[in-house]
Amino acid sequence: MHDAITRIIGDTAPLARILHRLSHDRMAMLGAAIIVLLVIIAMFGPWLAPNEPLQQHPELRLASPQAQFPLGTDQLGRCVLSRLLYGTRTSLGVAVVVVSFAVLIGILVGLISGYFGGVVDEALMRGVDVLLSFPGIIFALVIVGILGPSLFNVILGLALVHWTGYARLVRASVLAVKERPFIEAARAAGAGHRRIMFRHILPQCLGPVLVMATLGVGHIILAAAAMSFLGLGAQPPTPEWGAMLNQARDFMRVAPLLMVFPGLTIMITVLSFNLLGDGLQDALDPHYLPVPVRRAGRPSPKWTGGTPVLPSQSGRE
Amino acid sequence: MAVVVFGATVLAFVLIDQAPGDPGRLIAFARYGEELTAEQIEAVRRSEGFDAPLPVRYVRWLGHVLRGDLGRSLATGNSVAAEIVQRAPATLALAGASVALALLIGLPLGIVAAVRRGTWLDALGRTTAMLGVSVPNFWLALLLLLLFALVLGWLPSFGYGTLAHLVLPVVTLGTAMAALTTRITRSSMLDVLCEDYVRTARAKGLTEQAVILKHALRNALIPVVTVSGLQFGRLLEGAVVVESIFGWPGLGRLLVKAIFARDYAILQGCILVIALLIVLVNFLVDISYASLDPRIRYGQRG
Repeated sequence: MHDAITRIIGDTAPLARILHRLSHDRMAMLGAAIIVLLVIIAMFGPWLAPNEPLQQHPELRLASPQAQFPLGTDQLGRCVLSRLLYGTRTSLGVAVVVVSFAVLIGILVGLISGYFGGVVDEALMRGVDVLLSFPGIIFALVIVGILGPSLFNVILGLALVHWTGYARLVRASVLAVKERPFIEAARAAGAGHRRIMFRHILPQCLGPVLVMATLGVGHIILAAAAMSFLGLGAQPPTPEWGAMLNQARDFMRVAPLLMVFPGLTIMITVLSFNLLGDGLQDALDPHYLPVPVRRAGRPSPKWTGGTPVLPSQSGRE
Repeated sequence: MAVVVFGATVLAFVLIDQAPGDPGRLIAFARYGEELTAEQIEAVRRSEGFDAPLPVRYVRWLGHVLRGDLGRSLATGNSVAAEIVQRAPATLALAGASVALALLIGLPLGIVAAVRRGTWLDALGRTTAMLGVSVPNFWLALLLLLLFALVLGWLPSFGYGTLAHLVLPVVTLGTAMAALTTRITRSSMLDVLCEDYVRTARAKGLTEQAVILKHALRNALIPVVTVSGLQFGRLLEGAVVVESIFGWPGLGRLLVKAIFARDYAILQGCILVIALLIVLVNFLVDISYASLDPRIRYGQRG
């Protein structure tokens, strides 16, 4: 992921052109549309839900989809659709908190590390290396193991390790930007370190960070759902997608549908962030070429005598 | 690398050492059972050295670790090192088979997608890869379990021992990783295919197959190997979930059990071993560059 993203560091096209390119990427637009829908659901879930997510209907356990319960009910007779709608807030909320925290810390560490270099850089980057030797979920698991299972501890654990990727990315951008003439000019004009870092260098680094953060939201949603699935995150009766799957697991023989909907919801959510992230990455690429339309009968990118097509630069990661 | 290994040991130690709850009390509890007196706890604290300052405790702990002593499980009293050694092979087998499956699917798919860029094959490869990175592995595991173990009854749903037990966990982990391998292989092949030496190889009349498999692929492999190495951590994350679902007696399941049991000794041993495994794999990846690309040489030569 890093290599492909660092490729777009450098000259970033103006925002308008990026948006224009993005609007021509149908998959990215699909992703964006689903994300907008999810945000609306997260905000207005309580008004959209047909039932109370915690209310049990003991006479209607494991019911199949019907008018009152469009996606059926779970083992306690709770409305699956309402629980999924409420769960959107939890999943998106966790991911947004973790990624925002990670982006802030990552930018700060990356800027300082890349700008000042030397011993500071060495110390910070070795620290990042150490953290990176603990995979995100496993680090979060350990935090939860120490502090006890809860959604808050999952957030804490994921945030504590998720920032390292952004720090490395920003550092790489800073290194690419800081020798450019306009930084020299700013320094000559008497700008201080802080002003150069935040006003002149930082804006140049935000594109790649945006791509990584979009993909990061999808990744964190998956990770947090996995933790809740293991019983270490959101605790019952909180409606949360991963926890719902965990409970559905015991009933998969009698009510396989119960297991289908939460999984599908997680997949569509993660997919939409991945689609948008991928599209952003292409749109931010300074060597952007539109997705090629090839004539039939000329399938491979053979060199045909003209200017060779540069597939590397339009190819998605 | 030495710095990272050192840092990993410090982190593994400090995290557990600073954990809330009195470890002296926990150990005394494990040793003497319910009816604890304050003197017993104090005696354990002293005998276990909990009253020493942090760096001293760390150095003492490191001394034990270097001798292969990771302490005793707070829950069972078994040696942590023995528990880990007993379970590591299961996880390594799972990881190894998953990487193999990922390469088996991802390499051909990525190559075809790159060579037939822009065709339906490419679109198919890209869609599969996109879905593959978005499907939650625990959901995939449950669906596979439902279909192949419960409905069709072809494969065992739970346990360890035979090759049949390996299939579902490996398919779960391997396909997710294959999605990424496909993406990297595709983009890396595309980069290589427009290099001069590929044109030269074509110009001297080699068959397309020879050009792609001998000249392009070898050079395209480096990013694939790098990413596979970086994915090892992701693979262990997945193993935690998959081992729990399929009852696979590996490190991941040990870790989850330790968390529920609040068994800090096992927890510490597990994260230390996992961190060291990841450092080791990254080191091996670095070394493997040299065999893939003769231009890269470590040490004095070149």
